[in-house]
Amino acid sequence: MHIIVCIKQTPDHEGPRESYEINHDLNIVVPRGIPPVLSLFDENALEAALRIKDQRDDVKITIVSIGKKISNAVMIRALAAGADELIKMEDELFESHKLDSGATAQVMAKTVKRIGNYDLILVGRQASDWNSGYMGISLGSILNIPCITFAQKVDVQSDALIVNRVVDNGYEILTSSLPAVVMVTNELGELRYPAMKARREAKKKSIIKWNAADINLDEGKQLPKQPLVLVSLKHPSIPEKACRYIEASDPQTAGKKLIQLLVENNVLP
Amino acid sequence: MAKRYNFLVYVETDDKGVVTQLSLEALNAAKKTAEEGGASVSAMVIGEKVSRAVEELQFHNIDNIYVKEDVSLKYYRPRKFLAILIKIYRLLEPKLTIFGNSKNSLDFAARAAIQFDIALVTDCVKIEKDKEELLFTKPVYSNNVMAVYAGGSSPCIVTMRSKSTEPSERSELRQGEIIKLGEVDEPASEEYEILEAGALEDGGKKLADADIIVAGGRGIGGPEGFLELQKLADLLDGQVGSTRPPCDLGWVSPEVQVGITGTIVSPNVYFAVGLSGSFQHMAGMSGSKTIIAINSDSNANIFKISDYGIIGEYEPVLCGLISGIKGCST
Ligand SMILES: Cc1cc2nc3c(=O)[nH]c(=O)nc-3n(C[C@H](O)[C@H](O)[C@H](O)COP(=O)(O)OP(=O)(O)OC[C@H]3O[C@@H](n4cnc5c(N)ncnc54)[C@H](O)[C@@H]3O)c2cc1C
Repeated sequence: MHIIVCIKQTPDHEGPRESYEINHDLNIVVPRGIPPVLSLFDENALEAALRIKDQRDDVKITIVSIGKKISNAVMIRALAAGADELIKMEDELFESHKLDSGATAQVMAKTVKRIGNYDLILVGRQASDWNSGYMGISLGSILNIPCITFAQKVDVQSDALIVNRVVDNGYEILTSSLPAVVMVTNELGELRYPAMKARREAKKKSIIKWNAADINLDEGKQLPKQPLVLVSLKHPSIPEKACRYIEASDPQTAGKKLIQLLVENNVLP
Repeated sequence: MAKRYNFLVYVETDDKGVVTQLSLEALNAAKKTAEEGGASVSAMVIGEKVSRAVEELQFHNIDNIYVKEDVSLKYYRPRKFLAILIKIYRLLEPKLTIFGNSKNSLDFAARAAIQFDIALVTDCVKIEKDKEELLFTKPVYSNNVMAVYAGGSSPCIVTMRSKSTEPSERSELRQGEIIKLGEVDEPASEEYEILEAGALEDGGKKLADADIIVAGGRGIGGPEGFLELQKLADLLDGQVGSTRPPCDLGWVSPEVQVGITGTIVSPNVYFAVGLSGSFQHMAGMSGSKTIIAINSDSNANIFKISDYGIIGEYEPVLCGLISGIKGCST
């Protein structure tokens, strides 16, 4: 069975606020001094694929990454974790602020069609940069196959898909036919850490480079117009408070003192 | 005076048939924006038993309440629900449709936007009116940047992040026309079948409703440390919360995650123990009334939004807190 995992390369989501510089003239975010990484929830999607591969001998995992420039150094982590090949869909057209979920899904659908045979497409619940969270649903709709969102467990039993889906205050166990798109959530668990040996071997795995022309997307003519207009970008303000520090001869006494203070100030009963 | 536009709010209910807090917030967002722009506000409720919710909604100053009740609608089913929305959409032609940011609503809103080929803003925290245009604010880059989008002249769909507005308040006046939707075109098939569905006892709701939360982060070091936090929470009649890493590492159950991808909370008292104060976490708890930080790093971000702080290793501090409370109560 052939599993396609869609992985976006994003600026490190744990960077300090200053590292997400805003260029107000161009109305874009310019990451400064933070490395690109695999988008957070896409790592969970890959882990889901790897767990299916753990169970079966016939699984091939292809990663597709769409972007203006995709770094091999970043993607090697995904290959080392156990994916079999990488398709880099690189083009000037595919700058992250130019691709909303809908447009990404269009490009992904064309890429998937070019790949041809596939049984399952896994994506993260949302990208860690623009976090729109509906690329998978758009993709399923374009390919006319089912899409299941917020998956915390993904299994394939004979030829059916079984997904444990997270809902607010509950869960659902769902089944659908294959092929299908599944959007994976972080509850599934973290991407396994590859051993050194796997990292070395990953460098020998196949990396295929395609661009817009390879999927008949030239000059941006067929990139759908984004329905929303980005008016402005700004840094949010979280109101800061004057913190009252409790000091004492030792930390345990500080803890006791704090409780006294909280009771005196009616914070605690 | 005829209203110029129609707004539609998708209202969800909990397992007891009560309108969720998130839906009341979405309703309030719609009402506030409608006041500025002279729009009508309608609600839609879909479910197995919705009479309780419908009655409740009549006290929220809504123009029309669209209702579809059927045993087959106990759980959210994408195609079935979409077919119902399509019917309402044709009747109402809403300029703006507002959902809460629940998981099912996110799924539903996305399918609706694709169906109608219109814009979708997920995780919206603010809706404003600027002349004839609606503006939507959405945090991007893991809450480090706020993006403001303009919807233009075409209709839009948004999903509202929880706690980004106050919930709609109940009024004395009972009003609102109830419109029961008759037959709706049945979809030929569903995208998937439900084999099993259930509720989780220790869901995020407990956390969202808690008066006191004792939250731990990566600095807690393991599941044993969380048991200590649980002791403090129990003494205070509170709930344990967590940042993302302890959930991912399996130290605590994922439902207790606080933050933009977990539950958004605003309790009276929030203990932030061994957590640094990432923006993704702070956006989920900065609305707490009193914040108390315990961290060994005096430069930790969390102190900036805290009312009280102790700089130090958390273990002995926690010990002091626990004995302080036990001392008080005896
Ligand atoms: C799209 C996206 C969504 C996210 N959603 C969320 C979310 O909903 N919720 C969330 O929490 N995170 C979320 N994150 C992750 C977030 O970026 C941070 O990684 C996370 O919040 C950090 O958790 P932490 O503060 O526990 O860990 P750290 O940042 O590692 O902080 C640990 C802290 O513990 C202190 N410490 C260590 N040892 C001790 C000790 N013995 N005593 C006292 N203090 C000690 C350290 O000084 C440090 O400040 C999200 C990220 C992305 C990209």
